[in-house]
Amino acid sequence: MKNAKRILDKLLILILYISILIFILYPFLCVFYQALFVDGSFNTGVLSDFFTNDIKLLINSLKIAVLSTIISTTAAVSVGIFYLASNNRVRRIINSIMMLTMISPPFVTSLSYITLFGRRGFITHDILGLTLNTYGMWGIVMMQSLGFISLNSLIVTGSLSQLDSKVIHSARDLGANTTSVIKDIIIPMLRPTTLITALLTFVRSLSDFTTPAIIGGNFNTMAAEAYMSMVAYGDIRRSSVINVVLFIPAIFVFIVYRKNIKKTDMNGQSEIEESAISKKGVLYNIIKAVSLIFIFLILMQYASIFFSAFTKKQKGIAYFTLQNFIDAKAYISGTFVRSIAYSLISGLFGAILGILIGYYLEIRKLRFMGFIDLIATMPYIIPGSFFGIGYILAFRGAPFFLTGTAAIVVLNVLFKQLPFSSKIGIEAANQISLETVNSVKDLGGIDFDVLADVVFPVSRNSLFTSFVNGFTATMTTVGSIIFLVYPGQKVATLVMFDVIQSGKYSVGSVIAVLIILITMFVNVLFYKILIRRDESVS
Amino acid sequence: MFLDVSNLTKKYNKKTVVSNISFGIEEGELLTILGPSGCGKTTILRALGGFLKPDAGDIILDGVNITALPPEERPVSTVFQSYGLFPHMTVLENVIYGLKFIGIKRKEAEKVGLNMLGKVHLDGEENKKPHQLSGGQQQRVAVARGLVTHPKLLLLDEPLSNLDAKLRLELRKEIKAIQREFNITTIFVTHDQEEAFSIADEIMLMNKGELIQFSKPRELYENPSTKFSLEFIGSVNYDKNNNRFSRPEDVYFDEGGEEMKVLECSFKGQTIEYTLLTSDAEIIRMASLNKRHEINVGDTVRAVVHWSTLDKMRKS
Repeated sequence: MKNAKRILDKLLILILYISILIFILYPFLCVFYQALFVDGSFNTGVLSDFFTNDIKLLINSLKIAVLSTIISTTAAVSVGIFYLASNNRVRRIINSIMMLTMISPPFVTSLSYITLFGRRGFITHDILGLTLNTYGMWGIVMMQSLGFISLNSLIVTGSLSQLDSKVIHSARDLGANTTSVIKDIIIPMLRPTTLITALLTFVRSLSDFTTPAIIGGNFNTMAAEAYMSMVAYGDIRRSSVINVVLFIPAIFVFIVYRKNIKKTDMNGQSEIEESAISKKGVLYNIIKAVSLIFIFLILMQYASIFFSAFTKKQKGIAYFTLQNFIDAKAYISGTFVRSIAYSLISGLFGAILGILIGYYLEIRKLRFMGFIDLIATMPYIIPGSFFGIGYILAFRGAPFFLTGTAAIVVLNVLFKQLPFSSKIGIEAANQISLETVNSVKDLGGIDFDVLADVVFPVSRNSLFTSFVNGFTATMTTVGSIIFLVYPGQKVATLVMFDVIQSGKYSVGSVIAVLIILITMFVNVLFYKILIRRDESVS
Repeated sequence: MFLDVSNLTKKYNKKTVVSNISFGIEEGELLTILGPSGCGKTTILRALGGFLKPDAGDIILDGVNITALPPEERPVSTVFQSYGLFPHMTVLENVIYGLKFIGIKRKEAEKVGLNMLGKVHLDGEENKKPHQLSGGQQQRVAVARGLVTHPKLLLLDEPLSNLDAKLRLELRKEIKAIQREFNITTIFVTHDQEEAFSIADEIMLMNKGELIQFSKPRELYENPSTKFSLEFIGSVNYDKNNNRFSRPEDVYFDEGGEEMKVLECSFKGQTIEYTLLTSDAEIIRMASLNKRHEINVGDTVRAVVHWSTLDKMRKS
């Protein structure tokens, strides 16, 4: 019995090591090989060609990334401070709005932008009577900024919620008014968080190809070009080269991220109470205004998506109808079942892998586990297209032959979201005390018993959270799998992307609404289960 | 009175946490608010600091009603239990932070700050960050930061509870010395009665949001006004038939005394504590200086109990 468990333990370690090396590191290296080697020998020709001929693309991408980063980080810090100063009811509302965007496909923003401000936009065309070309750089910047705000605000509020309220009390006690508290205490203390938020936004903006593809018009970026080279022209080498260039800032950000993530911990013991800051002063009111504008814009997006899903226009007048849902049926037969199945698989296995990584890294402290964890975190920062192209290059030939299968898509989404589940797994493992682990062994158990009898049962809440995250991420992802999915096997996000690109905006809205409702249902369901479990325990 | 608090009341969701409390202290005095956790002592401190709005009552400090003022406009400084130091600033920057709001220039402020750091024995530590200091040093920074603006009232919220026993004794003395030197009116919240006794000019004993007794430490111990005061402070023998009490140190071995049986015997070093059983089956607790008596469990001894009457005591 003990021997069988020992073997099982070794087997688990082996599977963990090999799967992460094969499904993350190997495809990653394949892209480099494709970009930098021609016929087996090192050749930077394609790379230097890119820098001489396509420097414009790089400049465009950088312009957009810088602007989006500045706007969305500033807005996120504002929302964070506004959140801190608000009462619990307002905080709940802000949180719900931010969570709503987290469970939506990433290009919902662009879709709503088109329905509101496009050539036939609700505001520009129907209300103002204009036929504008709002496509282009500023469209991309605005939509990316709006799209990134939710995640950024959640990072900022998460960091601020750990702030020791006594620090703010002390400042006020010494005579600081609201403006001074914000300037002297909150903003400086948020510096590491702001840095990380900005860098992550920068990389996300660089690697985002969906927004420029949808509303970029003639304005082209590197990510969009990498996507087009691959999908339209089948030029996998050019696509690889662009992705390698995109990877340079990403790796830099990755290093800074790993170094700074601990500094964002503010060591506070309790949630800051409502009255910590008084709502006064010019600075506070500017922050409040900025926050409210962006929160309003985010809400507008959703209102417009739901509006365009449930209405049709006749002679310029919108009326309520379910016709769009009937029209959408042709596009989505089977796709939602497939999406849900993929999401369930990736959520489940992602959660299990995450806990295993946590266990072997933090409790067993295995020698190479630190390196494995580093690899497992890479998809967090690698552009989605990079990861997708890597999968094609890595698994099209022997011995895998995975191209065109469902397996390649599921593996891709599973390993793409591994950074999140491994983070949750590590946190869960850290909460298990060494005494508990030693008690198992003291009473006659071996390592495998620790895993089976302590780690998994104790981490059940983390498993749930990890599962829901993985499910949501997969339901809403588009970045990497767009390269992997064959026409007959599309998932919901890809169909949505296609119909938007071909101008069928109301069908796109219907799919967006369905994706939002499904992910919301799963999130709420599991949240309720978690709460009930917690209540029955206490 | 320098600080005059009248009819202070605070409710949370219909639960009264501070109930109609009035008290006052003179300038330069140190008042300790003592009570079990949840008795409302921290709520009072927060109301004085301006961090919560009382439902009723007035706080008058040096003739000015400060009840409605926000914390930044009150001449009151608080040293929090977790110190609330600014982690991104140096020790010196922490200490002089309050000075910029009273219009003192940076150069001048630094001079004042260094001087203040000297007074709390932190010379040479001014350029460190708070996390580089020990718990006791952080505590001193918090005190220095609170005092540097010369507030009219200093509030200390269980300031020693995060420190180990030896350091606690040391800092207790230091706080008292600083308080005397600056002659600053101070309110010190604690749940530790020994701490309260050793540092306070006056003690305000609280329980369940009510003021139980306000008196000098010795008075509180020797003349408790309620049964709660009696039992919260120290150890006691209480005779409910005659409504009288006796502290363990008021029980003596005496050849002419009553015959009692030793039930328990606990060696404390300086003192020895005995649990005795009288012929009426009453339990008597006794504390005696360690005079090398050889008394063991099961022995029969003779002892006298000195009772104090509780005529002042309310029945509660």
